[in-house]
Amino acid sequence: MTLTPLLTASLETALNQILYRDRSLKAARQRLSGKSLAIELAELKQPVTFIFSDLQVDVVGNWADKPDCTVKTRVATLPKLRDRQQLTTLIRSGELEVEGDLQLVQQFSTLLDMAELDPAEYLAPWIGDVPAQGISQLARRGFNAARRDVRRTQSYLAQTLTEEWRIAPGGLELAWFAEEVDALSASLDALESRLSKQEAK
Amino acid sequence: MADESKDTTHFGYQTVAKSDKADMVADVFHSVAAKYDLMNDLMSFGIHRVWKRFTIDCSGVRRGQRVLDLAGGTGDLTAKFSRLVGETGEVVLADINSSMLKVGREKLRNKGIIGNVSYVQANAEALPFPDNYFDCITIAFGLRNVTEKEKALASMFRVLKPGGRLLVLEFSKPQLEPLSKAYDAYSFHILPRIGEWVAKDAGSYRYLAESIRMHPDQETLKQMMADVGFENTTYHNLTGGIVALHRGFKF
Repeated sequence: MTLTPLLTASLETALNQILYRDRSLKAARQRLSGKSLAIELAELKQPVTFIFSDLQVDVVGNWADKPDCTVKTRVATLPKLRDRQQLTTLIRSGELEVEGDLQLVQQFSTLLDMAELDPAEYLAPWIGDVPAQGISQLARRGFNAARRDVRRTQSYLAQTLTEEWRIAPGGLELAWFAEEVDALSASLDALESRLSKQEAK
Repeated sequence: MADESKDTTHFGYQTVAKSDKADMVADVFHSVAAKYDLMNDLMSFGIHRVWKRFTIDCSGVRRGQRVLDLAGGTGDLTAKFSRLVGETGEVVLADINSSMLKVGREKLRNKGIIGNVSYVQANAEALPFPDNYFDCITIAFGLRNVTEKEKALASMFRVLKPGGRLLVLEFSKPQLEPLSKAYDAYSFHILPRIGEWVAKDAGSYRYLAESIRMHPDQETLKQMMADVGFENTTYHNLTGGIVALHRGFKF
């Protein structure tokens, strides 16, 4: 009960920061103004409704009116919404169900696509362009290095387990074992059918 | 309730003449109006935003409806309602206190919220609106300060359309004993300090803490709403009952 207001509040703040701060997005925003878009996620019990107006978007957990457009999808599909070209593919594959004004989804998708999601953009007004760019580059490099590190550690650990200590089978061993089992079951099938043929005589 | 005799009422823990309470409450709010929003955030750690959001979610307003934000103070709910009802709807921000209304009007106009909002200085006990006028009435953290709550509830019932709903968001009684202890300690010892430090007015915030204790608890308020004619009255406890949202319908 109290979780939903928290969720809608953080969603609203995030969307307003991303979509309603930049003046260059005004034309795209104006087309959405006055419309309402409901999103029903399979993971959530309640639909979340976006009410677009001139000054900001409001995220409401419980909208009594009929929304102009309803989208049914799952959380994993949401990032793909940014790509307008995939929209029809998503609808055809059934990952995205749209009821009502399809154009609304397209316009929202355009708006999301046009919005800059670069962290440097949000730091720049506070500390200036150059430090912001520097910091975001540094952060990105650090993040990539950390990810590489994690991946390397993972492979070291896997190799230690399979090659050094031999307490778990390696990938090839496992595949070989699976094939052996398949072959065994195939020969068992053959034997069985031969046996039943002999018994039938 | 300290005193139920005919012409006295409570002002925090003091007993005062009924005719004086309105003026004393007015003094409190004239004094805190300028710092009202900042103090709300400080005192509730920002949780009041979640409470108000929950209230909006329960309001069920639609496009084109008419909403009364009673004792709306600085217009937090009004701003949201104004966007939800759209251009065809109407929101009336009413408050008995001129200072609060001025702060609210200034804030909303600066935010660019104009067109479907009007401002009325009104006493909740005698609302200056025709019968069956509003689709939804909200009173957030205001009922506590009204001298005659039954009269105010009856007045709201009168101006509400059949099918409309009343939402009362108000401090209430914490449901858990440990929470209640911590809450008491916080509101009697820390709140007046914050008030003194930020708004330079400890007295007003002592009144706030005391008036919360004198306010009827969840079940009593529910019964009061039912008594003036509201139907299907229910309440939700928020944050362990520190605040409760009461909802009643007029059919």
